[in-house]
Amino acid sequence: MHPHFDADVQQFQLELTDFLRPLLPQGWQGSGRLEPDAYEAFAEDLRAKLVEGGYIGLSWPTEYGGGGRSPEYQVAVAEQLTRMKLPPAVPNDVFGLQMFGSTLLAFGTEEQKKRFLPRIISGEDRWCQGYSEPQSGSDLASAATSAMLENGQWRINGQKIWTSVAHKADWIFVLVRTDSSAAKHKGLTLLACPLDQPGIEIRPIRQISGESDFNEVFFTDAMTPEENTIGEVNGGWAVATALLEFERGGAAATLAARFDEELDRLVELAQVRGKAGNDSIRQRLAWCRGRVLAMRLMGYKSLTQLLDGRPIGPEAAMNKLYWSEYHRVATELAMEILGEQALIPEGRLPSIPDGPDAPGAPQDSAGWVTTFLNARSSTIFAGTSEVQRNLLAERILGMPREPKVAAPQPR
Amino acid sequence: MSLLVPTHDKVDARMKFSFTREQDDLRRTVRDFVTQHHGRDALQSISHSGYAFDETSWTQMARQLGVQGLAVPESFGGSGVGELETSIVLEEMGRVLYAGPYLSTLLATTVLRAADDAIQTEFLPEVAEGNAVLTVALVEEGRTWSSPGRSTVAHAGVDGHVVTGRKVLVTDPAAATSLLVLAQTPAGAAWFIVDADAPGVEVTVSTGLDLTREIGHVDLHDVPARLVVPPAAAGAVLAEVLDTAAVALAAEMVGGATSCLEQAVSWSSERHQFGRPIGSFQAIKHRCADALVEIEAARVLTHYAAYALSESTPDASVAASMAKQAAADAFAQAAGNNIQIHGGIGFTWEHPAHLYFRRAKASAAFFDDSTHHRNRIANLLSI
Repeated sequence: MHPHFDADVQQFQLELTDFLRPLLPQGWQGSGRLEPDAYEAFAEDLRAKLVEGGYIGLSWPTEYGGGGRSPEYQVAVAEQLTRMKLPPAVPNDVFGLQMFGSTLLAFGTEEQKKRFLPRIISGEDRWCQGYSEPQSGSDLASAATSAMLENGQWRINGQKIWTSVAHKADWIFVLVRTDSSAAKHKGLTLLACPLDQPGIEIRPIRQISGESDFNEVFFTDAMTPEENTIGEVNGGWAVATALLEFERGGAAATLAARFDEELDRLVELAQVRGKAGNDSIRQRLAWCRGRVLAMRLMGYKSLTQLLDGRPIGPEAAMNKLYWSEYHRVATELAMEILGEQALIPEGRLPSIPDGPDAPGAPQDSAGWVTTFLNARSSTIFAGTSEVQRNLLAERILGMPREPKVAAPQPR
Repeated sequence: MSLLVPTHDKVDARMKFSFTREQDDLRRTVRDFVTQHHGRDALQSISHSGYAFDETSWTQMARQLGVQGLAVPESFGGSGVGELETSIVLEEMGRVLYAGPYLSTLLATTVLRAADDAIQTEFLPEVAEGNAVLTVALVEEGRTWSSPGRSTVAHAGVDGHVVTGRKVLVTDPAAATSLLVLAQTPAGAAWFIVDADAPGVEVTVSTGLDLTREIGHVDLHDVPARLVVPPAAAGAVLAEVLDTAAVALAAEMVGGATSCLEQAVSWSSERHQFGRPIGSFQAIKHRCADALVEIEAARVLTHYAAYALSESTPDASVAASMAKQAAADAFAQAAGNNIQIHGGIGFTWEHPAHLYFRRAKASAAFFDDSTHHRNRIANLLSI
């Protein structure tokens, strides 16, 4: 039992610190001190610097521009960035670097890997995810956006919704229906599609915080060449679901570092608001500390399994449910601590639209209130808590499936 | 802040949050043993006739498996391993609701390990061999484990000390052959060892909420006692006992919770209503999924706390309290869930579900409740 990074990895973290120190201005208090626009620019600059230093795509094979290192390094770097109060990533990196990149490594052709992966690392290509539709949310396999192959080109028609950062992306990986006569899971294909074309329109959606981080994406005879088929034609369901699982592994550990930092700020908020002596508040803050440590340990447990080459255990499947439900509770606690200050939110808005705000964020009520409102989306996107519970019960506990209702024909 | 303190002295150790093969083997061995000797039949017997100390199994456990000896240093006849191993044992015991004086003996052994060689030589080999049953007599009337009271006093006489006072919430008071007693001397609190057969020792066994744990109080009237840990070190030893107890109980509770979930899931696929197994209803699934998550969180915290204690890391006390409060919540939830999913039969005396539920609630209060532990976390982390 050794729940720490090895000496080489710790040394790597120190080297990263030395490498990044020149970027930090005097009296650096964290990227959270920046207003959202300045934060975005700072995150981009940081990313460019990290690419220069070879810190992006650390665990990808070197032949595609990666660092060829063990996953331990990737987690360690993410933790160190948070420790230095730096942005963990730019928003599109969740989709490009984490999801699509991992999927391509598992399912892509050699040609696709060589074409796409280096450009994901360099940041030349930004990605977004086209999965949900207005009529296909939890029941993703019922997706109806269609694609027809004509003269070596896919012609795509339909609509995707809840597409995060589509307005900042160059490419979309989109789940489309390519065979309407087959059973719904067997007629889907995953395609990579360039966004800059007349047949694609992106419209922002305004969410409960007042911000627009999600979009609708309309496809009207949008085109993408056949060579952008990811995996098998009509084999897209397996690819799409594998992609959702690639968020797991060490992800829990890196998220935990950010939640830990957020909790530091929440404790400080309690102190600033004069509520740190309140028994009930103390009890709940202590509970939160335990919750976040458990999150990190579950991440380390999954990371251990990854390093051992063993299949990832059940705790990886719990990750999303665990952190999103935790964040609901933590942000409720923040609202309670804010008390009447929440009534007229003031000051800086969060730089990160879901999950914890950027490290070092100030104690402005607008930051906490918006984070609280956005936390209501975390238990819904990427698989609702209800769907997550069903999956845990059926796949991990082996509980019996619900009897199927006669399925309507796919449109 | 980071609660996990990086170590720089383990040069070749890669990130590894898992057990060794030897530890997994120990788990398997203990699981087999307790399932065989302390399984459903034993629980049925407790339901029907109450708890009775199984001395045969106790000596077998010592001599065949070396369980009691895990906490005893090699030089005194044990295997001298650490808290990771003992927490594995306790987790497996908790799964079957093992009823016996293992936890009591473990905590008392922790005290004895701080004694001088003469005392350790006299008592520890007997523990390892399974000839001794020990317990800790700590709490006084109206007090708690972390603030046990000062009414029990020890006077120095010609031939050692004599101790007088009442200790309550003592586990295994009747089965114990020796008791480790915290008593006040003019120089402060100190630990003493008392022979259970000594004149002036009066043991009263009560019927506890937890039917699987022998519990009661001990009255001491001028009982001959030997000093084991003098006042200078007694406070530190008490702190160690409290942390050890928190982690030990957490491990037991994680085991118990795991079993409760298994029982609930198993029942939910056997029991059919409305033409389908009740486990196919989402309400039932979601309760079980939530229990699974709580148990896993408690499990990793407990394993980490055991590691932290074994390495005496700076965060060991925080980790111990985190584990205890998380495990208490998880076990209460899983045990309640188990009764609910079993429906009517889950509420009968004959079904073991209530034994688990009682154990969950009692253990949550044992060695200080979750409110105390969360408060302690808040203090230690300067919240």
